Amino acid sequence: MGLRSFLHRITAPKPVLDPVSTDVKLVCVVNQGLKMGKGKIAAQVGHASVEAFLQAGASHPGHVEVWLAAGQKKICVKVPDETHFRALMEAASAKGVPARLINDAGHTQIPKGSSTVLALGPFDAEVLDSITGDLKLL
Amino acid sequence: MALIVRLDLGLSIGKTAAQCAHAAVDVVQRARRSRLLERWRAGGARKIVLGVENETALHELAARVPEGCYASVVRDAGHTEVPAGTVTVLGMLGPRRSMDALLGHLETL
Repeated sequence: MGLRSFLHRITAPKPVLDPVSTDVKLVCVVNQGLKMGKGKIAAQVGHASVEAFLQAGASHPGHVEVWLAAGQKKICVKVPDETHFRALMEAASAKGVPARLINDAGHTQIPKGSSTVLALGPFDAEVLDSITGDLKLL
Repeated sequence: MALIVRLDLGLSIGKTAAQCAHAAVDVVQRARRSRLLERWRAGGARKIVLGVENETALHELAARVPEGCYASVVRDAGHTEVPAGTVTVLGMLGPRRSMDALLGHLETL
């Protein structure tokens, strides 16, 4: 590290983290209408989680830090088809919850461009429950 | 990226998905700022989910992870389905050739 960057590091203001509750989770909503197999669902949820983690790492660093430190709490729920994603995304947007919709590349099992998983969070569990609390567990 | 799931635990679909997601996030964190991660994401972040018969077989694979790959073994927190500390998934990111050599005999889930 050069002298200038060292000086910058000790004098620069600390980045302000977004305010966070201690209970932070990630919710993955799976589109059941596609009849995906177990491995396919696992891969899509994995994809959604990585994307949500990277996206929220930039927009909600405080939430991501708490989420990682507390063991990456996540939950998988399901909706019967793709049309339910729109209402969930609108609710998330209204409450400031980061949302990431995954569209499949269509290499296997399902048509290209199908929406497979909607990841909501990592965000305050209480707020997420107000959006996805009624959905059934996968 | 390969996500290798223990088959002997009989995990549900939701549990399997959550554990695979955990492994994927861990591996991405380990590979942060590497060229390998950039290349993988640019290529569509391909993943494959494979099965392995039990914990011993999973650890054998984990011990033989080739140089230049990033790997992570997930232990469940035990909130549901399995006792705390149970090893569930091995996640691995690496060049295709070295991954195929190690994992080619496993079946997809």
